[in-house]
Amino acid sequence: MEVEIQITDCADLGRINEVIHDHWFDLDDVTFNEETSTLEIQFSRPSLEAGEATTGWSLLRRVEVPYVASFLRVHRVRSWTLQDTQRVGTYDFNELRFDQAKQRLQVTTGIPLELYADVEAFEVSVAVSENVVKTKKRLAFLV
Amino acid sequence: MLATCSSAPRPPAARPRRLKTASGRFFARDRHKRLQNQSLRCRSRRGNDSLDYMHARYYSPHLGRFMSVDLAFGSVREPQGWNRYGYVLGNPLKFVDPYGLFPCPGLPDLECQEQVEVVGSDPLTGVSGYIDLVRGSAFTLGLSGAIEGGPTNDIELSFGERVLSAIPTGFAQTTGEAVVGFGDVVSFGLTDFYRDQAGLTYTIDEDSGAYLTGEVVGVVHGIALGSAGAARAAGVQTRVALHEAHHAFGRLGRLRHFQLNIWRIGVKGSGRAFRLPLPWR
Repeated sequence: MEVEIQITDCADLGRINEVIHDHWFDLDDVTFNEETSTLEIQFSRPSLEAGEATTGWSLLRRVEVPYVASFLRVHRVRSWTLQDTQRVGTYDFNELRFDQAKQRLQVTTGIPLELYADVEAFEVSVAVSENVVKTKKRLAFLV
Repeated sequence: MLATCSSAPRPPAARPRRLKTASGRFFARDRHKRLQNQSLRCRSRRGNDSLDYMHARYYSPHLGRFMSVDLAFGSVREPQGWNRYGYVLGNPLKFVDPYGLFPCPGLPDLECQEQVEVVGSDPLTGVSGYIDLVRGSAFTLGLSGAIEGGPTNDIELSFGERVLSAIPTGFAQTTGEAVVGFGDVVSFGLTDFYRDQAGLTYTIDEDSGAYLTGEVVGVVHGIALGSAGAARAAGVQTRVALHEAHHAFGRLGRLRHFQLNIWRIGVKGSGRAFRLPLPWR
């Protein structure tokens, strides 16, 4: 099931943050499309559908969780800045913040990263696809 | 010197009220022992210049005043005490001053069996300490101002077990015990050993909650400092932040949490995140 959320009111940023928070992205997957003035950040997140329990006991089970390709897109970008001082490659989303006075959307991360886009107008979308890019095995309690 | 007080045997001093029952050690045990062994308890007179030795300073009976400034501060409520050369607020019939520090009501023999201490704390650093005025020694409780004691400007001017100044003492005592607990842990017990070896008079209750709290803070501080130092030595960067309730913790649902990020600069894929949930959203 593919899901896409698009918002044009910065008061709804929480809906986007719910989807991206704590998920990791690679700086190599940050692209800017000059034709559409769209900044796209590809990341992976667990599928919205429940993972499948494979092995384990009644209380503690090993669960395979599929991670699907997801995209955070910032539209109507005038310019954007990326300063990678830590050179770690992969970073975890914390949240998006929008400064209305500067018309600047900033991506905050757990590992320090300077990533922001100056926009003409606020328009952000996030899409969760069905394309599984990897699976992770986790131990889950009471699944 | 000529002793003006009798050095005849006196009844033993009252046993200290606060005892350490857990390990069998007495609080202020050295004080109790030293007082019992003390042979000359009161003032003595220097023969040539006729000055009375009053422990903290000399007193001239001919001039009716001390020869140096009082080490103890005067009280705002007692303007007579602002004259730090004066003797017993100008009222020798009512008061005595066996230590040359402040007027004391009552019989001098009784007070001579006790110790005089000033217990206070630095309002800026939170470091507590005391000054044993009789022996002229001072001791700072704790190693550093790592514990901010807040408005810890309470000063206790005590005479034995009696508090002379009408200033609350509980906060200073509690802060002192917490700082001592902290100092004892971060010094790996060296400060405790030093106090024992030096025979310092102290009134720190090592069974108190404040002391235990100080110890716990010291342990946490040591772990955090050691971990941070080891991580930094290994080239690992760390960052701790308080996050909103975005992250789901299984069946607990979304909770606020502390997030610890660790990574190594320049090492691709070295980033990790650990989350400690808080029991509220």
